[in-house]
Amino acid sequence: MRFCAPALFSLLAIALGMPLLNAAPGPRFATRGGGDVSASVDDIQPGFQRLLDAVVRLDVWETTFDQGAKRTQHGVGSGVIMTPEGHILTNAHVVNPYAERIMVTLNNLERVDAELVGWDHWTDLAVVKIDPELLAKRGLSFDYAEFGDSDALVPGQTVYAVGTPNGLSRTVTRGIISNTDRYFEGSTVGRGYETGYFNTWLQTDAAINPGNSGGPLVLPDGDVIGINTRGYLGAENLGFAVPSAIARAVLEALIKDGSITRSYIGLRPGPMQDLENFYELESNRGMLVQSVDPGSPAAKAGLRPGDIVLEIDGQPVDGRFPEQLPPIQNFIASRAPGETVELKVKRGFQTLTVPVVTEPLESRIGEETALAGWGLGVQKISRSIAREENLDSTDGFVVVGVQPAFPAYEAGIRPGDIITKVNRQPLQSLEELEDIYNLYEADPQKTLMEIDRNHQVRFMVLKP
Amino acid sequence: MSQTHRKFLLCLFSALLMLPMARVAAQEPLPDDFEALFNARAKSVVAVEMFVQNEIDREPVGAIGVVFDGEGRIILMDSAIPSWLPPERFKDIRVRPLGQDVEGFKGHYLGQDYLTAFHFIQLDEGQENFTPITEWGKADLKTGQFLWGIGVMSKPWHFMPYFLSSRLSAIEQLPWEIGFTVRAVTTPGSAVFDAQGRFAGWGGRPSTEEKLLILDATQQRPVGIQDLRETNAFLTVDRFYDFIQRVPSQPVGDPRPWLGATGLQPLSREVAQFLGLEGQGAVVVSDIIEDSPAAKAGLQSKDVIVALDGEPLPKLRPDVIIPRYLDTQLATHQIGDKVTLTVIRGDEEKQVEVELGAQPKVLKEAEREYYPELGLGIREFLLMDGIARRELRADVGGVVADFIKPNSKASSGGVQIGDWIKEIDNTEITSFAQAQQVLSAIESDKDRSEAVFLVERNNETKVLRIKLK
Repeated sequence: MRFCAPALFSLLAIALGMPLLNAAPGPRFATRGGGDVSASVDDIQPGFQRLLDAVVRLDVWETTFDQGAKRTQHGVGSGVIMTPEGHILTNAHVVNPYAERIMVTLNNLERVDAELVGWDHWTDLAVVKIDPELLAKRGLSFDYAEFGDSDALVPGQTVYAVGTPNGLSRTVTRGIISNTDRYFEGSTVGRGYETGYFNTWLQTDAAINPGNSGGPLVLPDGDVIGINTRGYLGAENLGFAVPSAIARAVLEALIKDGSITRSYIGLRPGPMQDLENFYELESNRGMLVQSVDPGSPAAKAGLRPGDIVLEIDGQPVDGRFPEQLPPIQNFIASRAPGETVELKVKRGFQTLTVPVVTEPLESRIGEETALAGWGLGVQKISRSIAREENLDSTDGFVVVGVQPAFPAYEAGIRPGDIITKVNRQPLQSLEELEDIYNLYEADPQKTLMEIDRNHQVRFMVLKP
Repeated sequence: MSQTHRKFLLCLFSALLMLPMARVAAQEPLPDDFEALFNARAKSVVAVEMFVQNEIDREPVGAIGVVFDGEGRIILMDSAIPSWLPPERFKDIRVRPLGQDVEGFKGHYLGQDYLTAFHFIQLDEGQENFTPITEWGKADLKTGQFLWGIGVMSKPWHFMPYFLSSRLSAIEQLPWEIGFTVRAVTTPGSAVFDAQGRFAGWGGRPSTEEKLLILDATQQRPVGIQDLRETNAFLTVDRFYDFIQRVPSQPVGDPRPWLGATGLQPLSREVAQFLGLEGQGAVVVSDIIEDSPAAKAGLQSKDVIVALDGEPLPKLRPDVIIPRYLDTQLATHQIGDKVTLTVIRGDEEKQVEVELGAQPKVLKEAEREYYPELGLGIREFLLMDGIARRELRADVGGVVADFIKPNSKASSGGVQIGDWIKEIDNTEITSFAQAQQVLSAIESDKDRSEAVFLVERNNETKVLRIKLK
């Protein structure tokens, strides 16, 4: 079984082709007005109506780099308005900086454009904003929802998911909380951005389908306790939401700063479960250091795989089970970069205190662009990629796409290749590469590329 | 009728007679006794069967080969036998004549030639049942020429030989001369002959046919198709005669001359032009192994090799053949030989004199041990493991997991094939012998409840707990 936010993401795109989305003939939805949700309907409470007025459909046109060419892709997702200023919380895999246009459909079926405020792929959350003044001028109104306490949830509690599954706007489904603390190992969303290292998920059996992404999971009173993020495709009623405790903090930070700064020390934790005897530890203490990224702050500080972290800044650490690891990671990540974290570490019979100076957390996905005339899509090499690929430096670019029959393809460049030098010069930034490209466009000359393919050096010539 | 007249008529008559005969010859140049000729040639071709004894299972292996001398030695293709396994795992070698339902004759493994990668087998009995392929003389190969070969059916057909024929399309240097025929002319590992029954070549891997796979009106995609039982490619007879001289002196193979530069890549025409090289081949060096002959001689990463011992590298096609050519040229030298490489470094041309060394251990030579209690097979860490992990030296030491028995203790503990075992119970593993010591101690200690491994996998380490009870 595989869980897949990226697949969910791609299904969004598939849903586009469905006729019901093309404003084709079909039932004309009555605008809301008559008959509010009654308190007598099941366990629904008055706040629920307000929630429905805060849930929106998001149509997003975003830039994709398909085989080295820029293309626009249209996707549909959900969101929930969380402030009177019109801030909408949604998923990072629905809206991200690649968005060219974001169109919001309010619950009253009116459409308005929105702008990206910020995104955080690590928690798969993003915030977009509609302009209340503009709306007021058009005589439109909206409502906003409030957060509930995700930490107070218990399995079995009734919840509702609201959103746009498969393009079906304003769909409400009902279920229960199936698990309050689901753990997934870190994975990726969209173009390979890391996600899920810092939170666990709420699991629900309320139907979650592609397009529900970014919509709220709510209590019968309409309080938002999670943002629906992923589902198992091909499984029945296994949906997952980012808890509101996380979403609330991310929303606030994104509204304030437009981005979230986290710290990185390069320590990959593992659960202590079953290893206590070996390491001669009492139960419920310590977090295993599974791996240390080479060259990372943790490596520089002398941490080693097999070390047991007992305390972080004086706070005892309990990493017995996998579910306990994301909060610990989050605790480290929430430090300001450059701060020193003191780790109390057990190594064999020794106990050491290791100060680690944190670095800003960076995605493994570098800045991306397409050089249309070459038919070449490239991504800047990030520190993570350089580490994963055993590269000496972050100079250079990963080829993410090539257009058949364009110069890059003809020269023999293929996706996955790493461009290490152009005309024998190492390049540090995308701008430097773009400068060379612009010179080529103005006056096409043969251009020598030095390529690293699986650590084998190749030379290739781009010809006009 | 005068004498001359009679003679003239006779000539005319015979000329008339020969006309239809000549026409037949163009279509069917085979001699009348071809049946006998075919059956005699089929005695040079054999089916070799054996099994490979792995840690817990056995894998049957079979291939077609030819007997090439009176001692009953047999040559098999490179792909016939897994060349990464130690030869002592090849068990119960049987050599079977074609088309007969017999037990087969016993044989033993002579080894693999490092230059060609061909394998050699020695018949231990029944030599008199086979005829060396060298008995049949050598054909003179010409484009367009009629050739025929012996196809071999699969085992349920008792390796029945059958007739195939075609014409020679081309001979190409890849980097040695490979003949290609219009259609399939033999079975890989079997033989090709000319019309008179002279040996023309030895069946190789078939060329890949490019076809369009049409699934329905909307779906089609190009596919490459290779025949398993028949081939249109063969190693030409002269090269075959060269290569049967290369029987290794021991089953594990002979020590191989070694340069110590890895990832040789060809330069394309455009790049060669860019670097001012025209009409010749060139290869670029990716990495230099520490302390290797290349390193000692001062060869550097990204050097472009343009000549060997003053001879410019030839321009061969496709490009990938050029580094193979250099490889094979170096392989024909002896360990200790000095070779001069002409390299271009930046804008300078340099001469680099290298004294070839002996190649570090390869997979089949690696020490291996299987621990049945743990379900774990280990193998010593080789240079190739180092290259894959960017440790460009031959003396890294240590061990990698080579085999994991399904559902064993090692498997339940999460050990995976290819894991580099760096520590066991906090003890750093630096050599195969030391790993053996530690693991045998673990296997023999019945009171132990667990062992903790630190492994490196995909550039990350993992702490794995192996539950022993």
